[in-house]
Amino acid sequence: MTIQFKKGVLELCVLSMLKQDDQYGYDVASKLSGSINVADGSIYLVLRRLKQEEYVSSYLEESSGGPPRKYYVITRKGEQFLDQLIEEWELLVDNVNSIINGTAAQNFQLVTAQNQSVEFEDNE
Amino acid sequence: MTKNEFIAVMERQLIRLPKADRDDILSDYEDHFARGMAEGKTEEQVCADIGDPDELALTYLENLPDGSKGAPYVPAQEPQQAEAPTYQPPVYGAQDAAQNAPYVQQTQPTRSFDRTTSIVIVVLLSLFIAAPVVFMLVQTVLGLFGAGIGFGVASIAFLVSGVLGTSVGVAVAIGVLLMSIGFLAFGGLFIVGGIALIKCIIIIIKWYVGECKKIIEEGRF
Repeated sequence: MTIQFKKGVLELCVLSMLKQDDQYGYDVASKLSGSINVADGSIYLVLRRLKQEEYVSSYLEESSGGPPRKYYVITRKGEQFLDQLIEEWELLVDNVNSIINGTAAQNFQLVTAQNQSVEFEDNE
Repeated sequence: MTKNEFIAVMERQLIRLPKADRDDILSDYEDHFARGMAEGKTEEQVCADIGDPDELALTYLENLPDGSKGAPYVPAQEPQQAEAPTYQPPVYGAQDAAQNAPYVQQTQPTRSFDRTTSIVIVVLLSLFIAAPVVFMLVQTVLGLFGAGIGFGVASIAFLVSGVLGTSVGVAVAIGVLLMSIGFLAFGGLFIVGGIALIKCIIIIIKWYVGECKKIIEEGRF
């Protein structure tokens, strides 16, 4: 997996997990590192990037017998972004499968790993 | 590698960042170690899984909020060079209410207004400044078109009388026909001006909508 592609997939996975449940960064990291070969530390990178984009927010929660721990939560903007990511992922999977199966149609569109929402800006 | 060594390396690499950001990042890793060890892992085991602190820190520096990548971060406030590593792990014990404040306030890109306030500002701006201005411009356009049409009609009138009035005298008839042409040209000028003004209005409106979106998204002017 290229680095860019992995980043995109990680964002998809992290957001997906947070949609199912608010959770501590540690839980996200340990669940993911079972499935995807990434350093635990890079999960916090992804969480921070998602927080900067306001797809995710965090709050401190008391934990018994210890310091308050940081809980991560998906935002509504994040859920919309997640829907978009899932759509692109499924399209990619379909297209790649049809290439593998040799059933690719004449013209298909390969979705790139970049998830950029297209915003039309008039720079006149 | 021990936990303190890991944290120390990251703190050193992240010294360029403002303290709030640095502390926020390091608290994630403190949490991680605390949870890992609470589950019975040793510091070495956690370190083995967590990744290389230099590489991790570098990636944090690459993804700065203003979108710049890898450029040396020059903080606007405190002189970072003189600051010795001062990261204090959170003190366990009495928790005051402030700890439960939404954590996100420390690290979001700065907003002068929250989302609701910025929407209110945009609505007020639109109602009391943008709308009247647009109305004025539209009225000007209507005026221009009106004048253009008026001249056009006058031009037709001159044309008709010029054609019909050849009995009065050829010179007069020609003169009137020329006036017809002149008025047509004049009227056309107004129409062209009106169209140009419409295009200007559209550009202005598009720019204004863009600015309003930015105010709402970023919460500041």
